[in-house]
Amino acid sequence: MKGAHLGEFEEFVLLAVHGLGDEAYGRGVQRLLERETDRSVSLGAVYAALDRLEHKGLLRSEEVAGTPTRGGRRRRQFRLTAPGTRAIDTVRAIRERLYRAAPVRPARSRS
Amino acid sequence: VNTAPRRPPASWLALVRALLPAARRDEVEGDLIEGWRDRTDRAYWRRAWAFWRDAGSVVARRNRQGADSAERRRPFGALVAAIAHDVRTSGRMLRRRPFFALLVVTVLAAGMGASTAAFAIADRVLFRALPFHEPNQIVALSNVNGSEVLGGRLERYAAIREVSALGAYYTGGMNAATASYVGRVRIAAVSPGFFEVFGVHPLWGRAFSNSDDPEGLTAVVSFAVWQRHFAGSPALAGQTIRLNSRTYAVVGVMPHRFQFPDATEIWIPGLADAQASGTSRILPSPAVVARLAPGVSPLRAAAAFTRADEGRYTRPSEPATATPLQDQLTIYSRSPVVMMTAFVILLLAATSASAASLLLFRLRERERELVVRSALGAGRWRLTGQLIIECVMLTGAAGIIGLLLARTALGVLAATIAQIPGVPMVDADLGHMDLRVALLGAGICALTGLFFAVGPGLAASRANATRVLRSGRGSSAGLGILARGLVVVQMAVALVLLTVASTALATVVRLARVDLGFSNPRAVVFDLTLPEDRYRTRSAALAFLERFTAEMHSMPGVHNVGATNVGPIWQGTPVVAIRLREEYSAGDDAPASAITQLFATPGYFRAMGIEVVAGRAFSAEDGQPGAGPTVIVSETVARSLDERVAAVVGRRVRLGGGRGETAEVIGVARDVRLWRVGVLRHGQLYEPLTERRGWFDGRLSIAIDGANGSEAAVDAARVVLGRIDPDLTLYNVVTVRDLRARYLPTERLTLAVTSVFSTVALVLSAVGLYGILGQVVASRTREVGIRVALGADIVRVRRSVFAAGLRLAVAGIGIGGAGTFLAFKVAAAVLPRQDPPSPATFAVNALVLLTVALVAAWAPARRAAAVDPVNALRAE
Repeated sequence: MKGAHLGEFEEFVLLAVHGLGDEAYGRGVQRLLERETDRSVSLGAVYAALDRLEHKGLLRSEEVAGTPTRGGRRRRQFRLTAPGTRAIDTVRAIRERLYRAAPVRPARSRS
Repeated sequence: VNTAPRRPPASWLALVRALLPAARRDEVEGDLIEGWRDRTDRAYWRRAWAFWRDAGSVVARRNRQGADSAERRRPFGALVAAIAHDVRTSGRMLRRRPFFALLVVTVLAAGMGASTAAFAIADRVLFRALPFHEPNQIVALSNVNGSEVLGGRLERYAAIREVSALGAYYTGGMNAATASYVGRVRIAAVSPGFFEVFGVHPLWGRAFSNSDDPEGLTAVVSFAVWQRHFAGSPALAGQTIRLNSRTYAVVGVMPHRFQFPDATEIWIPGLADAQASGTSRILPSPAVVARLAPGVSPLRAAAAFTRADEGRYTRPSEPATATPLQDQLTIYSRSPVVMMTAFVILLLAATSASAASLLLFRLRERERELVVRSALGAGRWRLTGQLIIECVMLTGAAGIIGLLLARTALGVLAATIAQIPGVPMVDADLGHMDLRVALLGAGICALTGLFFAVGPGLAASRANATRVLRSGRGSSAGLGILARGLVVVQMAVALVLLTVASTALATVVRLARVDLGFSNPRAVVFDLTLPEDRYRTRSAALAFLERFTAEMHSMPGVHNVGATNVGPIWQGTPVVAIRLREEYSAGDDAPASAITQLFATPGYFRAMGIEVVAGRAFSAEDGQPGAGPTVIVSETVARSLDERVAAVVGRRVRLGGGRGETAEVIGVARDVRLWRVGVLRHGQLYEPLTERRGWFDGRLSIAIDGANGSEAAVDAARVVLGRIDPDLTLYNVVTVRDLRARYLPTERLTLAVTSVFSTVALVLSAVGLYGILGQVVASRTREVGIRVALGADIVRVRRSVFAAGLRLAVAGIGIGGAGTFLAFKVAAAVLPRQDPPSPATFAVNALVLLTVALVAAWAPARRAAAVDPVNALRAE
């Protein structure tokens, strides 16, 4: 169960890593999530999710030299593994099936 | 320009690093730095909050996991993890009971705020060394009279071995004028040794020296004056300031910490201006200070002074004594401050007691939880630690709020004190919180937290699983006695403080009703000094007054203008003791009385609203050449001449001894309380100001009755002064309405301080009682349940809880009564003018306390009555 299941926050983090490419590290993910979900996300929560996802084999990480904006400190950069990519596809497929099954009214177009 | 630092403080980063495993330090630190940079557009506290939220979340998570073997090896890892866990648990617990948390924090914050403020004042008055070089060697000399200064006594003292420097000074005010400023400044006229005594050197330029011409017009200015009026440049050459219309060369600037005595703005040498100290005819006694040689005690110095005086022709009547300057300066404030500090220590104890009793109450509710946790294997220290952390969190929050409260309170207090003349040794920057006060607050906070955590902590550590689970009763009964005792004490403290506060209130109210003798609420009074240099002759002063009065009358809205030499309240009043005799009385054996001898212009009585009860006020003819001398006396003076006041009008009196000329009494005016509202010091005798009569040293107190408000009247006066003599400046402006308030400085201060403290104490005792009774009710739930199940009367259950509360309150009132008696015994020794509390005041306060106690007991009593027997017994 644990290996397959993705919590909502884990899903967000996984998607963020996917979208960020080379910028996928702790603060980068936190920044994106704070902006997109419009809620306050603690750094510890981001690390926890990243570590869990790595533990599940959906992500892998490597140490990369730091930029001057972070005082030259190294950063841990995350990438999707093949199972990670598959997990995203699976989640999306599940969601799409569920949306199709549900009698949802079409969302109003925003102007 | 955004000047926000681009990185979080290094100390914060270091702290976070220390709490992290080495492998993750760089990564986390980098992310935190980036986060800080991303938020540079936000307020500092928001950035700090985000930083600590992130850092905390990372550290907490690291230690929670604890699975990583590398992390296991970290020293204190387990402890940090446990603490982090406890912090989270405590946070949850407190969030679940917001009312409880709020109550505890409020209680602690109020107590800590009040005591930090009080201790800050005590520190300032009692402990802080004066800001001078080796302040313990500076002493103040007493029993040195003005005439002896001329007799060479000071030179004699300065020469002895035990004294390394000696200086004398007079204080006063002068009219000051520079290119950009005309106003009044506080001055000190000092002898050459003065600065040497304090070991202070000018920041720029030089101090006075013996080679200065004693009449030389040189001045040393304070740093503040230098910055304000001389643009603060170190170039001194050619800088001048006009003081009392004479030009002084500015020779030095003092460093900004040096303002002795009494926030002095300008120092002038010796007797350069006799008018400065307010008395040009009589040489007043200077204040004398000395720096003792190293290792010389004040007693040894005094003995040396006496030896120096021995065998001299002009031997002083009394030996000079030396007192440490600090003691001398705080002589009036010391005892009240000590008393206040004692009160505050009691208050702090009461605060801790309240908070502890609340926490104990809360512990009752959580006893089962603690016991279950202990049964499941939680160690005793773990449980105690959890409670202590809860206390620390509450105390920390309260400490921050308390410190802010103290800061506000000190600011308000400093502002209040600044308006009260004659409250010594509390300087204006009392309102600034410095590190010392902040540390003091933190210390108080830590002590309180410790005190208040120990009881509940012990109670928790002694929680006995078997007993509690079996009977549903805890084992903290023993601590209940301690807590109860503290509640009694805090009730007593509240009662003492309430009585002191209401007595102060009664005094203020009583004195506020006293007839001051002048009653025109529209009038505004201000002072004016005519410098002797420009108004050398009496006729020049008279001409000025005449022109000023005439021009003021032509200003719109000005009804009456009057002048005298001494207006209400201002100190330095030259009270002249004179013998007033009727023309044909027996001679010098007639009763002599001290009378304040004033002059008054014709408009003065009407401008101030001083009623003339018999006869008439002065007219323009009085005092003119050719008219006979006339005087107006106040009622007290009139009564000393005749029982029927009106009968005095028309009689002739002789002033002073000998065969001096006589004057006709043309009117009797109301007594004016010139000095203090509580006591009528002397009666008054008014004369018209003429070439030959009237005591005049250049100082005028002018009263204006204006229809358009006091500001318009003062503005009008400024315009008129500008036309007559632009160098003149009016000062000490006060409306008659405000004068009344200024008559009661000490009383109002006592009232302000005690009412704040007593309110805090009252609230604390109510909360403490609530906590204790809640505890009582909680511990008796089972008993009450059984009694109710057996058919006990609900009303009686409720009554028994009330009775428990009442017992505590009555005990508190008893002890408080004794405490009040003692406090006023002490107070009577310290402040002789303090009214003792009336039995009625005491009774009313006891009643107030009782009412508060009943209100505090109400909620627990209701809860007891609402016990559902089924639930109470099922809970077993």
